[in-house]
Amino acid sequence: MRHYRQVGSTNDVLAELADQGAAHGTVVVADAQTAGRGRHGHRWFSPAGTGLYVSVLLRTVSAPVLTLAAGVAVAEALRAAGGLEATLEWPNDVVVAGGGDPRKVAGILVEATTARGRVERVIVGIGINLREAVWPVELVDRAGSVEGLSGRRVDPAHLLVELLAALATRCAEIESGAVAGLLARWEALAPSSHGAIVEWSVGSGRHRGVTEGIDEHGALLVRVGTHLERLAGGEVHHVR
Amino acid sequence: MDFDEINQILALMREHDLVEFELERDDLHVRLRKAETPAPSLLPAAPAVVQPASATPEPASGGTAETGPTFVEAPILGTFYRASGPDASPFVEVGDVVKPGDVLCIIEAMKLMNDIKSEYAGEVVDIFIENGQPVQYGERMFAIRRV
Repeated sequence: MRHYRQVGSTNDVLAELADQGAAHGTVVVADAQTAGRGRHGHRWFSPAGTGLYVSVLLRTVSAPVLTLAAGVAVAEALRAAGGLEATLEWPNDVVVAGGGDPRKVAGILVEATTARGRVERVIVGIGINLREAVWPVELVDRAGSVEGLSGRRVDPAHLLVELLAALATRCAEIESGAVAGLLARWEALAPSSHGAIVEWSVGSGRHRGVTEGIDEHGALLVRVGTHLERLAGGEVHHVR
Repeated sequence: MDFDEINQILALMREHDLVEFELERDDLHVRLRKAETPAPSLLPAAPAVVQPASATPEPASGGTAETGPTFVEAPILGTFYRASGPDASPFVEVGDVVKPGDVLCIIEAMKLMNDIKSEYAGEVVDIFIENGQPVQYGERMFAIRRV
């Protein structure tokens, strides 16, 4: 494990280490990120002293269900170390009810590289808001922190240990091919995986349906009239 | 070796259901390989790149025969992205020259963002999938004229 006071992005630092041959399980932790990233070029607000920013290198696990496993690990760590009723929205948005709309307290960015048809490595990047910060205006209505929502000051080291232990357990399940326990745990942590209205886009078409759980690969099942749609990617929005 | 002989080898490959045939004799070197038609899957497997024809005779060593572009196929199913974000420049455009290891695109499956790297050096001559569209396992994404 490598700890830095400040990096551009923990995923980028770990990608460089991976290119230099870093081993499966290598972890990068930083107190602050100057260029924290989310998916599709979104930035992850990562000021010093308010969050936990960590990336984990995986070389033996690459199934897409890994993204659900990362969500489960974060939610379980927040429950164990932060006393927060953290829940999941498909596939791995970590949210906590906080008066009004659910607040997003953690972000997960899973990045893989594939060459010659083989996955070379996967980096699981996780950012958790520990304390309240001066949020950028576009986040004020959506972001939350562990301390702000639970009233408890969480020890970052305790949270990190819980997080890495939970992630290791779930990765071992995926490696062994026995993911039924993982999928059941995910569904238990994701009340919106049953009976919630969601919207998604395919090409220029916008669709709407009602969630009916996940399949054996972790894809979201959505009822549209008499038809059961299977969503394995793209952006799914919860209609509140 | 003439085309009649190549046709005889192709007939033998069909008859015996051979995937690949290689012959070396004096200064002659011929290799024939059938394209694979893998089954759809959520999980990555099998080669990402195949030759375009159902069986492509490679030129004898020292030959100058023109070969078509090489197609880069999707190693997983998911959503195809040409750039890292809506405001970012595409990884590659038609006419760009790429080398092995250069990122061609991202395929997203269940929010796992997968950088797909080029296996070949060459010029990108075609891009078959539009940004943000679903891509199937084994579907052609790029054509690269190898150098």
